[in-house]
Amino acid sequence: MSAPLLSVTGAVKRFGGVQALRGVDFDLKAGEIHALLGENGAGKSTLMNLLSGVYTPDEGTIHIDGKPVHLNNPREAQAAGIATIFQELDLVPTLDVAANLFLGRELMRPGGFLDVPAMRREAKKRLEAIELAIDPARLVADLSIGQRQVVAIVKALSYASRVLIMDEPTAALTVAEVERLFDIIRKLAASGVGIVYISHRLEEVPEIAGRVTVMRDGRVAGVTEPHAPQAELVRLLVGRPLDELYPPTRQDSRQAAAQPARRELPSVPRKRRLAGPDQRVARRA
Amino acid sequence: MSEEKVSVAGAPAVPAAAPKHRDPLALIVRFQSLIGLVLVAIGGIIFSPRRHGEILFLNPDNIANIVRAVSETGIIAIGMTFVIITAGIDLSVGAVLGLSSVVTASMMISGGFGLVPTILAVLIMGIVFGAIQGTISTRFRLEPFIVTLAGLQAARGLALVVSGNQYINISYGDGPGLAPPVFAVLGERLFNNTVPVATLVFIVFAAIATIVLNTTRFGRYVFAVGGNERAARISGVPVSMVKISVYAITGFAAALAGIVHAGQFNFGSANDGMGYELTAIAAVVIGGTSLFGGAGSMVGTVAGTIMLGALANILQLNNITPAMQLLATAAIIVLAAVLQSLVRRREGLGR
Amino acid sequence: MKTIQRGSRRALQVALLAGTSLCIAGAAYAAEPMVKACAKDGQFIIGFSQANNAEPYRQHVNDELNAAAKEVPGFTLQIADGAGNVNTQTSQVDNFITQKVDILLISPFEAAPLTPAVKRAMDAGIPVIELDRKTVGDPGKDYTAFIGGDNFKIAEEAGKYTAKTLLPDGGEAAVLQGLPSSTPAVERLNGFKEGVKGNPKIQIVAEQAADWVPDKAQTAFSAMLQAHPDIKVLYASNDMMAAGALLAAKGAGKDVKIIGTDGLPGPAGGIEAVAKGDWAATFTYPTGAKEAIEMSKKILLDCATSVEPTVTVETTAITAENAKQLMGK
Repeated sequence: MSAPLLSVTGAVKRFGGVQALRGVDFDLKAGEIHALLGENGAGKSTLMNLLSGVYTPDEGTIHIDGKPVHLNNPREAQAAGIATIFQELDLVPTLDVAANLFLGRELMRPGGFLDVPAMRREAKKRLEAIELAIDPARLVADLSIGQRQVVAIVKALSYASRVLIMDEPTAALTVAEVERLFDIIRKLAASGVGIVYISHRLEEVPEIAGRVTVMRDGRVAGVTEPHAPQAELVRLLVGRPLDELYPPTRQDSRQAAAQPARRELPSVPRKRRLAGPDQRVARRA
Repeated sequence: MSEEKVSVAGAPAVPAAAPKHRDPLALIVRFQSLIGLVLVAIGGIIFSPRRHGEILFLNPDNIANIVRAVSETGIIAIGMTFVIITAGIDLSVGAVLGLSSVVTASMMISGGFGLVPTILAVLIMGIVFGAIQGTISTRFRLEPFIVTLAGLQAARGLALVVSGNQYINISYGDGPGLAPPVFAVLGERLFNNTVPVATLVFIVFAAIATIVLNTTRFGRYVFAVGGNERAARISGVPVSMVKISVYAITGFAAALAGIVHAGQFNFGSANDGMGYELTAIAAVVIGGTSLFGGAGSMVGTVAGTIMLGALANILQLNNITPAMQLLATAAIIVLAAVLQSLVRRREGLGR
Repeated sequence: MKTIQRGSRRALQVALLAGTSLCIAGAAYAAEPMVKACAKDGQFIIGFSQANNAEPYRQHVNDELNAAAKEVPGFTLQIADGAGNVNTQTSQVDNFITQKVDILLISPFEAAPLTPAVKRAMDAGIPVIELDRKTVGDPGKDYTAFIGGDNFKIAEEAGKYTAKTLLPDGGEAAVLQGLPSSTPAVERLNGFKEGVKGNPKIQIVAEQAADWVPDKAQTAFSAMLQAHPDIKVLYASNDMMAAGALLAAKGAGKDVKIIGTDGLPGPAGGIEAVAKGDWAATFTYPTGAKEAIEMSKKILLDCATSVEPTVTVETTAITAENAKQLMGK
């Protein structure tokens, strides 16, 4: 057996007195789609930031192909082949698609001038590689949210081809756009890219992931199959069996009513969630 | 990026891939100052007083008046465009103009420095002044509004110190207490007494700034920092350096305008350039540059600057009170800002 | 419409110009008028480039000029406000040159910066009459004429009035100065000191700058009265500071004889304050408006070949005796 593409062992990260990660082990194989679940504050984002070089771990090591690496900033992570699509859409809306794809690594002509035609040509090639007909000269502000998401993926892939970390990529997408995105993700995985897929939406997990890691309180609560029963996932997420959960509060019901089609863990602060757990999770059981 | 083509078999057409043309309103905003300039010019021609059938507004001397009068605020507005595209603001520019004109005058008159050392020293002073403001703002995460407001006070204070609370008249000639006569060229007109030298400085500076903004990596970073600072940082754009640089540019522009001021008026006073920062900001906003950052154009700023000058000119030629001039400028600024915000909302940026 | 009117005026001028040129050709030895298009019943535009409308004194100048110009049927007065900015004022002078106004009146905001613009007007054949403030050079040569008051003399009159009439037996006096280092502020301070020298029993116990504005004057004079409760006379270098000083004196419950400068008309002006008995006196700083319009008439209507290069307008002392009379004017 060869070493996993990417692995983290014993990662600890503190912010002041708060321990965000309390010894986390995580690994990703080439061509795998690995879902990472957890409530807000469970440590998902911190882990993701370690992998993308935004933070460095206080303890523990990161390995790529079995070799320990130090990722001191996003550039080093990108150089190591790890690309991240952050939660927000990290594109500049007032620049065009090509400018965004090449931001920070512009193609230049002699004399210190931007080579705009070359960047547009190359951008077109990269977009067409995933069969996306977006004019590279269009402003990102003029694209749909789904198109922007795809541009962000193409941008991330242009930094790095080995590991792609996606933080809630479907949060703002329509159903059709989600399907389209999943197709792209599957094809990328098939081509050997390891994908870390972070989501709040439990329902998506069996559809896309090959493996699920659930985090809670800065630790890995468990690693399971994506087709594990929802009740098992919820138990791992909140740390208690479902029947111990409180009845829903009025506000949560209202939120649930507002979005009946989308079942997901709400992005509410952890304390409040413990005081009034979410009805949607309970209902699914 | 993976070398293999990752194809998505039978994928449906991308939802919003249908060609979506730019909003007509967005186009208007993009070219609003050019449109405004054309409208003012047409209005100028229609309402211009005539003599022997000659339209005074179009008289070459009159056009020279217009572009001369706006050259100093224009130079400042060019620098301000960089800052505003990064979603910043620089209130210190008028005061730095005053400081620079005083330093220019006193270096040549009381200091006995030659032309080249004086100009170099003043330009470097402007760059350093701006860079310090930019550094303070990025380092301590302070609003540029506050930092440059303090910079305004500091520059006026320094100007009073340097000038000893006096005007400094610049007289020309050889010897101590006299400035090199060639400096007076800034107040003259070239090419058969038609093109004001101050305007030439403005045009050359505007041309260089347009090239820097639109065709260099730095210019691209300026847009990126203003459009989405986080995205820029993640993409490896040196955000702090870009921000410090744009304030250095406004400092340079204000110093250049101060030198032009001293040369045009043979004079340095700590009160020079009072309120120019606001005229410059108005010209930039009318020029279609967004105060939210990320979008803007140098051509728009130049057109906005000249439009304000042409408007003032045609109103005076028709003997319309300065009150009307202020009201008209106010209306234009509001119109420009409203158009911008409408477009932002349509583009879903107005959060 | 103004444009049409001006068009026909120009046509008339061209005709006159042609006629005049013929006359000159015919009588080569006759002295040329300063403006060739001059004519008894001509239509003329007078451009006035004002330094800064925001100052009440300058508003007063504008009012007087407007009133004087209205008396002359052929004159149209255009006023441009330089707004305290030499660049703006320069461009306005250039605009007047473009318009080819028949006479340029100017109160330059600063001397040196406006000098080139004045030269351009002179080069374009437009007579330039400077009001109140001068540019660099000599009247009669670099510009046509200067009309204005003499700040030193006016303040000296105020000083003499203090020495002879207000404090013949001596006592303490104080001075509120204008914006330090500005020429009129310095001249008025020195003039007053010179004037009171005639009475050695008068002591000037305090002098402070209040930058021409009433609120600073009120603060400064309140402090002076704290330090020197026996101040009997205050000389304020303009009316606005005198108004501020009056508030300070009332606040302190003191009866101080206040002298203003400028003698502005209207409800907030010095003439009314003297008439009401609030101040002892104010000394007018004449605007020279009437004189400027008179000079314009000489040049444009009477075809003068030369005018007096410097006209100093005398000040008028406004006291309890004449204030009520002058209010009606």
